[in-house]
Amino acid sequence: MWIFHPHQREQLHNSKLNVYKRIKSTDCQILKLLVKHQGQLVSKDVLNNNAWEDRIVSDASLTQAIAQLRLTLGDSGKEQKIIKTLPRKGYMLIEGHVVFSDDYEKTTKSKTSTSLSQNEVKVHVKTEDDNKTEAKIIQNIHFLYQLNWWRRMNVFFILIILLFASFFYYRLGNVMIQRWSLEPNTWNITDVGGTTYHYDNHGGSEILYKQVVSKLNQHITDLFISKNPGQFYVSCIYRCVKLNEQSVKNLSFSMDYSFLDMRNIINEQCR
Amino acid sequence: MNNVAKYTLVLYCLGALCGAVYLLGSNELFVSKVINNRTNPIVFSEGVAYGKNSVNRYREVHSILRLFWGIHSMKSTVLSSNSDDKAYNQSYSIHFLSSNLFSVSMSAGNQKKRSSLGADLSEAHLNVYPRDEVFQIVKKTSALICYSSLSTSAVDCVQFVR
Repeated sequence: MWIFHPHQREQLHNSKLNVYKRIKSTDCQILKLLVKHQGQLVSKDVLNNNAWEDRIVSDASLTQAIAQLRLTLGDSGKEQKIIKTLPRKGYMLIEGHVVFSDDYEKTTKSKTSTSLSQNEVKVHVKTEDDNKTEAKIIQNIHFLYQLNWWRRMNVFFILIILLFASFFYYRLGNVMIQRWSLEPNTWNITDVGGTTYHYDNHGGSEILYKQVVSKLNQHITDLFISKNPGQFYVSCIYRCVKLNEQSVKNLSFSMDYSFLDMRNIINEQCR
Repeated sequence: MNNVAKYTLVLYCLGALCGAVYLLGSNELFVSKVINNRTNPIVFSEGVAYGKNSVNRYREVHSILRLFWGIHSMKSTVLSSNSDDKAYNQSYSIHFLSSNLFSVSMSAGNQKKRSSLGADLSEAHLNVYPRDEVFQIVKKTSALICYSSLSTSAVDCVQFVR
């Protein structure tokens, strides 16, 4: 048999085993109701409203509180020898397992009689236990605020991580597309008279190559020719006469230039 | 949050992490091959664009900078005879796709003014309407790199300054 002292620090006392147990304030509120109505069904709504008042909590909170109470009282969800679950309805405390302490019964009775004798004028004298309970409630509220803040921060961090993740997916997709969809150009390479000619697969590039091959100055070691519909591109690697060192020059010609002009310009610029 | 949502989220993030590791790892692997193990190299090139009625001489300097996590950026300065000795600066992000391919995307700068540089219409177009451009390396020595744009077919050679 458990003696329940709702206002004491260790609220539960088992005289047979001589053990004292402490339970959370919300569990205490739940047990108070169950003991008050022992042998009767107490609905989940009533338990929720009394234990958490205006706070919105999930069903899991009540289930967890009941499980904790069962554990404290030496009961289990499987046995249900002290607290019985009535599916979808609520819970019931089996009679004869937990009783209020005499002190608590007396206080409750005297409070009731006082309130009756004073013509229903409610007089509430704060006891030390009440102060403690109040402090506990305030502490709990602070804790819940902190918990809420942490939850918001968690959501914020998850969003940031998702943003980064999406950015990497975007970059990865881009790289994959570039890597696999674009086919590198094939370049033709010929070595004539000490100059290596590189030209792409455009017919125009080949014609320009044929116009300049063997007609370039001996300073040019490499010549690159490419073309698009609007422009010829020529790059040369040459030995600079003035500085006697390797240099590069990039030339582009509009289609208005003749092959002869281009050849003369290449010879003039790449020396 | 239920377990399915949690696992989906974790899988999504793990996939992104693997993608990031692949991107940065491959970039890191190829960058040293392309730039010959140089750290933050500077490259130089000069050229002449012959248009129908204009000739435009220009010089370009690009520095390839390694940013955090192995990402690379390229800072370019172009000095053109058409621009009254005023240099135009441009910033690109550069990613090395393989040992002979790299992609460049414009990130910040004054692209509208650069379009005045050229007698080259396709280059001018890309400067005003930038997009990711992929380049193929045609020749590479310890002193220079020649590459061709897969978008415009333009070929360019640059020399390492250091």
